[in-house]
Amino acid sequence: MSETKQVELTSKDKVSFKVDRDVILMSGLVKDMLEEGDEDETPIIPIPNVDSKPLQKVIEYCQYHHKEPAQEIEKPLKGKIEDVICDWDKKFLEIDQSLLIELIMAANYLNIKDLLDLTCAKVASMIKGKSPEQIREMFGIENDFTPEEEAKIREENKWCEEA
Amino acid sequence: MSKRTLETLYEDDEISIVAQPPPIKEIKLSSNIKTKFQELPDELIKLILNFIPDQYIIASTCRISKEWYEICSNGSLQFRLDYSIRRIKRLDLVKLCDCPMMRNLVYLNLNNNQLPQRYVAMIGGSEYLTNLEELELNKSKLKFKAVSSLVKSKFAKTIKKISFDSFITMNPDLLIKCVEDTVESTGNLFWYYFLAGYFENVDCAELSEEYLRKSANLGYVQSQIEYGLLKVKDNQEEALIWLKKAAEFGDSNAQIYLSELYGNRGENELSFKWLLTAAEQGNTKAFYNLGFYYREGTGVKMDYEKALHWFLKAEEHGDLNAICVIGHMYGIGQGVEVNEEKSTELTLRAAMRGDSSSQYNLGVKYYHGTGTERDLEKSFNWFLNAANADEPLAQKRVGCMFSSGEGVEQDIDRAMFWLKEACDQGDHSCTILFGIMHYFGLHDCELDLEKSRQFLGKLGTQFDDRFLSKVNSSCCCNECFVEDFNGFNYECANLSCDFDLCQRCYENGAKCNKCGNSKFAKHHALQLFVPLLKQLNEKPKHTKLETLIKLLE
Repeated sequence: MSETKQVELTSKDKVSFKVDRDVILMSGLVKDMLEEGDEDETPIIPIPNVDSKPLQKVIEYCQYHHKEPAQEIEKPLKGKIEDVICDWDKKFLEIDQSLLIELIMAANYLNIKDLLDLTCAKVASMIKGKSPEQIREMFGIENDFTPEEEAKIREENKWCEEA
Repeated sequence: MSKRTLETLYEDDEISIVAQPPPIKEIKLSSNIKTKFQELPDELIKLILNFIPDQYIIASTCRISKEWYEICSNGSLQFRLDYSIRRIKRLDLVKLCDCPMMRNLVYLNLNNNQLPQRYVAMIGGSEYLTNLEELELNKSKLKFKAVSSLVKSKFAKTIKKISFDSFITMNPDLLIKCVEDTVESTGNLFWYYFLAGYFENVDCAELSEEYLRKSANLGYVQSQIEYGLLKVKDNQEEALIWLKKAAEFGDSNAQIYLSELYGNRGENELSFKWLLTAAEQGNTKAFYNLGFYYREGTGVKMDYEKALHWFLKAEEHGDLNAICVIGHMYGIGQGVEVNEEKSTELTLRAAMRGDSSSQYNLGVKYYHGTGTERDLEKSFNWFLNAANADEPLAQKRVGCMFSSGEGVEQDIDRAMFWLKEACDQGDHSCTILFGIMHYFGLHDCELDLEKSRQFLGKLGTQFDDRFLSKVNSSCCCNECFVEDFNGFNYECANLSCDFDLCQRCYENGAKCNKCGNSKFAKHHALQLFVPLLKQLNEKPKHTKLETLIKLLE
């Protein structure tokens, strides 16, 4: 009986993950790298831009979604993201914001479109309907506008609040 | 600072947090979130913004920080604003035209806003609308001042479509001059196309055609398509030339039109080729037809698996007809293993969404109990739904079920109402039924031999074997592929095969090519009416009709 072929991924903080080749082929980056390399052994692929914590989440996502392709998420979101994703994804997204941002960057680096869409849509859903003050507070973003600059932009764009 | 003061400050902070809107569940501030968020490159922020409705971005999100404002206003996003349902206030439109972030606006729908022309002129005069590609202005009257400002606008170079439905006739020379100047300065041939649309709107067909042809000649694809379509009736060869140019350029709508034209000319291979090209380019309108071409073997070798592939793609895009066909393919095992349950599930899905032919098919499934429990009431209700949507086959079945009292209380008047509906829509067997009814003067059909002849045509009035053999079965023989053969048809006893033979093939000993069965049920197009005819042939009894009923039983 032939065993499932595996790949070993090494994170930025030098943690190794063994994962089925079929699963990790969801990553465009890994796919390209595997096409170049030898197929017989368990190849070791360094992922120097991603820490072990987000990498583990990425693998978790691929393990579920390589057999259950995700539905495309509407752009823009009409309602909450929870209305358009499956229960598994909802549970998957129950993470702190710092990990969420790390996941966006990992999905982008590893080229996993569905995960990138899911995480970006999650942030969008958190931003939607909130004031700039609330958003800044939520993500710890500094307000670098002078009060005058901010008032000017607000005035220029006010029509859209009312329209 | 004393300890006490620190505590007070801390308490104050706490109080101010409580005073703010309640914290959202997702908020779990971690120490490194700030740095993490600031690491997000602009490209990823743009991806996030793609999921936020444009109005939120303009009204709020852009004010998060200078970096976000820069991304939101540098013209790299594509805003689309639609005020066709909730109209924009005039004052807000003035501000829209004066808003720097509108450099991102590519689509503006102002249909139904009934704008006075100075407001349309203001859109044309906006300093910031520099990348607009589509503008919808239906229900606003356009005079020269408004039109000329659009032609000379900052978006004159990028615009690809302006919808309008009402012009005040203007001096054509002035307008032509204005458009010629803009085409010369921007190179945007759209404006000739626009001019053709204007002339068509004010009933100047010749000038309209002239500008379509001019821009088509210069290579404007939309004009090539419209000019080609304009010529389909009078000059097919010329239509082919123009549609082909646009199709070869890669316009998938042109490819579909071209495929249709080749199809009408019987050039099926070419028709298939262009349909496939359009489908491969992702034009959803091509998917269903392509499935059909593969299923029927039109212009390509018959291939049920490929047919199913394209029907499934059409279904992904909500094509009801496709769901209906896929349901049927699962039912008879075309391109896939027979799966009656799946077939019924798909048919139910399309039926629930209002597809009348699926409602009819579902009625048939419940009637025979294929892929589901037999349920005459449900069968009747689905037939009735489809009948109300003018499906003649369903109207016939509703009429027959009313006459036999299957799934519904027997009611001959209602039966006759529905059979007449089907007859009026040209249903073949119902037409013959009314011929018979008028011949004998049954129910409320008066005895009228002339009327009877009109319904029966050349079938005659002997109502014997020969008569029955001349009545068309309206189905296709799956053995010799003869369509609409006459007389009895022989249906495989295994109903899920959906396999029919004509009398000749049956007598030659053909077997079902799906299950290999040689057991067939004998059917006749008029057999459905036996319960009704029996009911009506009570007082007085017509011997000729009695004979016909016996032959059908």
